[in-house]
Amino acid sequence: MSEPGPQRCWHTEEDFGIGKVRIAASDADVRLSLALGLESPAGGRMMRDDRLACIPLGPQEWTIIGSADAVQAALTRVAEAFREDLALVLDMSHGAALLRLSGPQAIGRIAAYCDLDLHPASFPTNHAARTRFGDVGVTLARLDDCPSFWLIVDQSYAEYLTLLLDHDAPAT
Amino acid sequence: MLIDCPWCGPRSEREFRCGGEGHIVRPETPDAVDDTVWADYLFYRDNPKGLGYERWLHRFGCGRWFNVVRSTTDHRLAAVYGMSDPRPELGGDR
Amino acid sequence: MSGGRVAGGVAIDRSRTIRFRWAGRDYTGFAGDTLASALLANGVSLFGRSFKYHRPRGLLAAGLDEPNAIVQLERGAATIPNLKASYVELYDELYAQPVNAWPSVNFDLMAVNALFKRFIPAAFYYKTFMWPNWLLFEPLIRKAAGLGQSPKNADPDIYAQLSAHCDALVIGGGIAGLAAALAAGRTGRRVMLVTGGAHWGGRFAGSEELVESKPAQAWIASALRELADLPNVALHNRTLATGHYDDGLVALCERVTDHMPLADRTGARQRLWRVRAGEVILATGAFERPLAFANNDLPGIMLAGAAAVYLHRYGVLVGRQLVIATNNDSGWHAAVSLAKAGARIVAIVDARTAPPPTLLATADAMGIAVRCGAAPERAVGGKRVRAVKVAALDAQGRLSGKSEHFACDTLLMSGGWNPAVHLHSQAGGGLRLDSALQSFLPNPRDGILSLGGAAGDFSIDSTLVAARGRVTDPVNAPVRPIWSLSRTAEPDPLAWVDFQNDVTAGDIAIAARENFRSVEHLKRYTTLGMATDQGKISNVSGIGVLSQLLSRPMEAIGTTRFRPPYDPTAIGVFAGHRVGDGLVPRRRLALDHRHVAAGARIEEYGGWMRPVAYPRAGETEAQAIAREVRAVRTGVGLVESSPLGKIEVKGPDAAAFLDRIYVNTISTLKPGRCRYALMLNENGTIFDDGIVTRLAEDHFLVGTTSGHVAAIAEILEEWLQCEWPGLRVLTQDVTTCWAVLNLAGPKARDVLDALDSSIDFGAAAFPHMQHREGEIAGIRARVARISFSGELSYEIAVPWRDVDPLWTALTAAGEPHGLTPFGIEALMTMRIEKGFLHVGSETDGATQPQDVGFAALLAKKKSDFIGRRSTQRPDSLRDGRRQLVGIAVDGTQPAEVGAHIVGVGRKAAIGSDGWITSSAWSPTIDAPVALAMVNDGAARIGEAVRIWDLGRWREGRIVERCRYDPEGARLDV
Repeated sequence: MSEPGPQRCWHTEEDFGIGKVRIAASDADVRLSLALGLESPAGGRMMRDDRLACIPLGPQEWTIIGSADAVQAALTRVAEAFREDLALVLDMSHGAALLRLSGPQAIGRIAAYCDLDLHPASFPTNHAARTRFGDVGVTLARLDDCPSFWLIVDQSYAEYLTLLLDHDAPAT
Repeated sequence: MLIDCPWCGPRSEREFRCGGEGHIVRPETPDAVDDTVWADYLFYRDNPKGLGYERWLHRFGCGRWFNVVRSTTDHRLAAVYGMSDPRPELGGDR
Repeated sequence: MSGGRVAGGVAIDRSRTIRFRWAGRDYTGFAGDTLASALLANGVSLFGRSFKYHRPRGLLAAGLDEPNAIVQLERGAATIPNLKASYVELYDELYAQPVNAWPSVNFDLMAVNALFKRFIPAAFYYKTFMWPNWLLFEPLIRKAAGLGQSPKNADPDIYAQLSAHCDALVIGGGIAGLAAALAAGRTGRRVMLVTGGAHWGGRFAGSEELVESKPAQAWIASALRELADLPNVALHNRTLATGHYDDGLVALCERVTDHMPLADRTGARQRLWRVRAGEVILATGAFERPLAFANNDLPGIMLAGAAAVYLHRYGVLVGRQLVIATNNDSGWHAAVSLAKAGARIVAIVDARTAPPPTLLATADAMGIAVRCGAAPERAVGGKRVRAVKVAALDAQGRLSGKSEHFACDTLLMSGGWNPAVHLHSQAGGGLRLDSALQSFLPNPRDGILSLGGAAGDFSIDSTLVAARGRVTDPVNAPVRPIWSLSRTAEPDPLAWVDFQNDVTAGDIAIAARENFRSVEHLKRYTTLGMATDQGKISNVSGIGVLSQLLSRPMEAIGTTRFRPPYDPTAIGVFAGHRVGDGLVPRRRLALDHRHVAAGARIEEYGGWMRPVAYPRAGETEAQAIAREVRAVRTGVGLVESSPLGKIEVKGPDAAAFLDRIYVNTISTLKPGRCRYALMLNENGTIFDDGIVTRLAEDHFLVGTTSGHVAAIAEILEEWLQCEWPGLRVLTQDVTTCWAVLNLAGPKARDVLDALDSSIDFGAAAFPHMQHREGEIAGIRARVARISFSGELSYEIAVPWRDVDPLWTALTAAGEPHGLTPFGIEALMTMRIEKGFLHVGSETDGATQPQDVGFAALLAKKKSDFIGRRSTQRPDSLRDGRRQLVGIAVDGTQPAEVGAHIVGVGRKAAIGSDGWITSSAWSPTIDAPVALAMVNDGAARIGEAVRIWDLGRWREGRIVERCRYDPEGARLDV
């Protein structure tokens, strides 16, 4: 459990859903965006509206984020849309932790453990990437120019991430 | 090193794992080959000084394997191409 | 006479006095001083004793090239050995001691070494002290050697790390660096400018030099103001570039709190920056080199440029009566500066026969005596220099003729300048010898630009032009190379070349004579360049001496390999957060709080914090484990198995794919069934085992050991992507989506029947090695009836965050049956009683399926799978391989894992026949049980053996590995 406070620029989200989709079909990205009601996600860009976000993680591999209900509904639609294809549509909500970092210190906290260039020119709003954070893999996405970020990690590493984010964190 | 993942773009070496020499061909029917051929497949590698073929995994990124041509003397990546793509000639740069 | 404080000093703040303690005495200095400058200002000239010979030593330099004034900073947990006094910023209550001197610097008992110098030259340990046995002398020599004291406590500091990106990284805060940062910053590019020290402006800060017609200090201040106003430029002082790697990656070590009083320090002490730069600009300057003549190491003998820095930066005059010995112009400039500050220059001795007339005229006007074509022959003095003998140089550069005696309290020397090419070379940049400078310059290289002294450009005007992007070709007046001064061709054995490691020109001659003629051999044989200064002052001089001895050009000899770090760097800064709990990512079970509340002792198993056992009040851990085993075997127990791997494998080719992965045939598995499967690597070695479950025709759940989940998820993808891209299969690791509780024991079904579920747990409805999906107590569940304990057992997987109500429901329903939580040790005891394999215990890097009882399984499958071909090699098929058996050990004490097994009565057999791989006390059969890998074990059941167990012999017998319910009847209830 963690709360934002004067000493922390991050907190963990509680009510969320995360889904994982892998599809072996050549027009998968087009049909996926239709099923989700979002624009087709291109490489490195997250597609978002007010209910759902979809991040491409690799060729024919996506993660879907939103409220628990919205994600469940979305996964059902996706599974249906790809019923005849080879597809793996999984609710990963219980296996993931979702952290949100905001404010002027967010970039410094991320840069302490991640080698990506987080400058707004290189990592603008809605840019997303799967990358290394300390010694674990995470999905990182910029939400706005506050700046705010999502950090998605395997939930069993959430405590480890807390340890890292608190390590030598700025006092104010 | 900065490695140009075909899917994610240039990333720090720390996101990758080297899978050793590239284009190692697994015998079609292992049963039919003798111990020398099987040992060659398992253990013998080229180890060139200069440009050589390697395969790499973007372990902390997209999770994809891909091929590279890399120099063992100055780490320079001369080529990056897909797992199933044909391998480029190394040229005189050995 | 020695040095003292005078007017000036751009780095110090005379309004802030600092108190500190050195070598047991209290002193004061000013804010901005280094430990060295403050001590010099206080008239200290003796700073330490040399490494091998314990000769008295003073300051030689003014920066991180200082080889002599090595100090032990602070005490106790905060102590740091071997810092250079000229690189330690002064702070309130600083405490420092010299190293390598006992009882004090002034009176050092080990100075006796100096008397034995003839017997302990370079590489003496290969030659003397050999008879009767080198090992007799080694402890004494080790005790006498070494600098400083290692800390005895754990490092109390925190270290941080940070990644950064920029278009241009400018390394060096002198004129060249400031100019380059301005040029790049004005274009709007992202610029970082870093310097290792606290001050900006480099060598010319506070000097009389003019930069674009302005006094240097004014130019520097104006440059800093403009840089501070540029939002795209970041300045970092106290940030030393320590490593230059591929693709513009540079490591910086930032000293965040080292300059602060101990009591004021908070947060990280140092920070490692990993900077990825589009272009690296090296404005790292150059190191002055000394002259090598007899006794050139006496306190009071210093580099000329360093004396100028002490004056301009710190307002310290290093002496009152100076002789300057040089072979280039810069020695003269130092002399003039010091004369203007009130020093008496006794003489300037220039090795060149015709120095520039302007310099001669200036000296003449100031009444300074000059000797041209001459050099020092020998310095005279004890704890400080008091005179120098000077003689003329002949055409070959040898001292000749009558020597002249000059009384002095300080001797400044300048043998030329070596561009600091370390960072250029670390990244693979090449070097070439410049004949005018007699030193190495960087060759052009893409992405790396060297400026100023680092490029061999000692003209301010030319450097500014280059910093602004135009190519220049600096021309330097030739120095006269005099690598070692002697009257003969033999270098002087008291002419010091490497001051810190105590290596003389005579030592280099020994190395050359003994055929250690390559520069890398010279380094290792003499230890030249190996100390904490890594030869910054000495390397090029050493190459010069060797070049003369061998009559081989310096460029042919080359330099030793430059490696990071550039300067000694605390290991902590490379560790960063990877200490203590941060070393390895630790994970907790879904019900960690429940286990703790139930009294579990938690320990780490493969990165997961898991219950060892649940000892009750008044119970030892061993008693708890025995109680838990009995509870499971006679009643019912509960253990959390969440870390076991679960990987979804789906697709029309999934079954065919898994057939290629496993020793077992998976395609014959029916939906709803489970199979224990072995996975090999291509070398035929057992890599993992686990339960594979078929959920549907095209859908499997692959189970793995908890330690190998990530590896196997990767292996599956590797084969699919690299070898069999045509197979239509998708995989996904879902291990942490599902929490798993294992309910085991003859009463397990009774417990489950008491709960509200959609699954029929009846014996016929749900046989052993089958799988059902449904709901238990309203929670979605996947249940496998599989057993590691050998009892009736159900592994119940539910979504991770939903497991708490399941625990509650099971413990409530289990209460009337005495449901007992059990830990890893009880589970391991039970599987050892059953003789079940545990990959990593019984198996090692060579264990194949036939070794652990799976010969029939191996033979059964005719189609190819990973590793199959390797199990058909002669070594795999031979007799006598180690095989898995049980060992019945006499007595009540379980044998240690690793205890060797020796056959009894086998006369020719020497050595081990194998070893114990798993061991436990079995409360079930009331005896110790063990598994072992024994040569030819399967054929030796019943044989008596001896076991070497922790220093004593024990008796035992080879038995079947399953000691309990060999028919498996208890699984079929």
